[in-house]
Amino acid sequence: MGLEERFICPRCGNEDPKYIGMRNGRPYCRKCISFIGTKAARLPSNPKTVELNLHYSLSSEQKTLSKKIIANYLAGVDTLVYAVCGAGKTELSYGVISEALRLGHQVGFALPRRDVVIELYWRIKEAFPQNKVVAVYGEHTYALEGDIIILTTHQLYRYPSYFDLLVMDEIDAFPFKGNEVLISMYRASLRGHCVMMSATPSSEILREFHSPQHDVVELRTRFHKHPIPVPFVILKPKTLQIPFLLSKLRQYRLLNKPCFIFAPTIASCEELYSLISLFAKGGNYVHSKRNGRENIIADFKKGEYRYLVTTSVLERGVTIKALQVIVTSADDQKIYTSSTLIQIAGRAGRKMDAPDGEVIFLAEKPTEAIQNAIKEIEFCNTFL
Amino acid sequence: MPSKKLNSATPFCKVCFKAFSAPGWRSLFGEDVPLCEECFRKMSPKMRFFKVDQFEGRSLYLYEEEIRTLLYQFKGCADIELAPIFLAYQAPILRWAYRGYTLVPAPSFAAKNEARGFNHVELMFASLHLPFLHAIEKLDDVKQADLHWRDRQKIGEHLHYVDGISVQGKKILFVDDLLTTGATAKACCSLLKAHGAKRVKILVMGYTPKKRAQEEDREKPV
Repeated sequence: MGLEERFICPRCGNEDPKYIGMRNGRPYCRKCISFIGTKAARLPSNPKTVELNLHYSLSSEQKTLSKKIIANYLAGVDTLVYAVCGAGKTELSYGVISEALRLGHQVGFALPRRDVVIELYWRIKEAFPQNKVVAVYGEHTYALEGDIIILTTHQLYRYPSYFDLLVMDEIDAFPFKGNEVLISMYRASLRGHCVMMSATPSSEILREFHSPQHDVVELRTRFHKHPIPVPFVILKPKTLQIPFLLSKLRQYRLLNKPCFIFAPTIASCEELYSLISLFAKGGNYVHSKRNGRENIIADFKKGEYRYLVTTSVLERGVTIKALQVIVTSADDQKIYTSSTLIQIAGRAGRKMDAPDGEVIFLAEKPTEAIQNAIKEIEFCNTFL
Repeated sequence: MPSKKLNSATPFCKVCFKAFSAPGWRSLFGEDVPLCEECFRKMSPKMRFFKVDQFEGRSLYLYEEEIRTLLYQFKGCADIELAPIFLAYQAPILRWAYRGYTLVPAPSFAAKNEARGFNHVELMFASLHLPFLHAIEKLDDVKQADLHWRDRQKIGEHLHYVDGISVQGKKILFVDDLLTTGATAKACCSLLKAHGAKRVKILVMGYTPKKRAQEEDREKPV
């Protein structure tokens, strides 16, 4: 008993006796036990040649912020990039990534969701054609070493004290948010300095970054200088939401625009799809348990489906041209917090040539989260 | 310090780590239940009875997502604390149903057990309080899960009866974690029967429905 009480997990820092088990007379941590696997080998830190391949130029605002992030990194200051959805956060980090590569530093890019990792992998690979980019996520861990490692936060345990520059995006997303094990693994993997990015940082993160050796840079407008679409709230009883939804889908079909329909849970997602697929053909559904969802999302991007019923797996990091967004049961307070709703609304109008989009919240009653989300979006739009 | 002792004795679930609201009836008999009811239901418990050749068998769970991850955590990650959860709710019934039986665990490759630090099958069924007999051993490292149906049936070549252990006239219960095609169970039970066991029955944790086993089989290279 005495041993158990004193044991502190060397990897995740857990000291709660509830999570400590005994194996052959020795204590072990049960909290981080599922994180076992091969560790990455360290590569020699040679300076690399970097050629940044972008099809577009950054806006003047993006350029100044990018320079500021580089200066912060070189001065050994952690940076939080607080920017609205669709501001071009990923592009902001390209400058500091290429600077670190030139210095021969090890660069990592961590995100909580695997779908976003896959999408980001292709974007970064295109932007850095001369460097070796690897993607590491669950069931895809064949290559662990590269110049730029793009990984899910669940894979950070493979890189203890490894990254000189670690860029973290969507830090306020499930499952990273509030997960002590993942947060301590992130701290353990960092050797140098980090750049955190978020559109909806929590008050704790903001407090942490308003301290010495930390800096916050803010970007309140989208790169194309168009306002973020402000959501419409439509209040209807549940039974009348479906006919409204169908009429909207019909409208979007005539305009030839793709549409996301968000449902709060996996069960309600399947239920909703089985109902509306009777009336509106050419759709599909995805959720975290759906097999082959990468293919479905890729097909959706190609335009093979008119609409996609989804849970909040697609709330972040997805960019599709001329996307329209409908949120059903937006008054479900457990799932749809204001930051989730802001992220969902941020899916619309992200492209330069289609900066507009419709965002509709279907609800039975207006909740505080809905009102706060709309207020926040309107506030950001005043900066234009 | 009585208060601290009381606190540390508060039972909690080994899977979801939540505290129990009310202790079950078995605590009256001094038995701890290490699993909350909610987690138990998630594991899709469903007792099934089946026959492999002439041997009667019983399985406790449908082999689905939840039990798959738990078994992986137990076997693959060596989370030994999970051992008592698998029989947490069925143990009293099984103890009655198999009274007077001797357990023979499914053979596993010795080097693998050493690397893990324990024999997983033995620990899982320890709460039945029945004597164990390691009557069969596996001499090669063959993993049934990777093999095609046809190759699975050849498992008998790798199994050997351990000399010097007698099952003569005994009632034997063969235990294993999973049963998919039943090839291992069939080979082991025939071996036991041939060495004079009076009666041989099978008890497994997870059972893969036949239809799905066939589907998964199709995806494997022949």
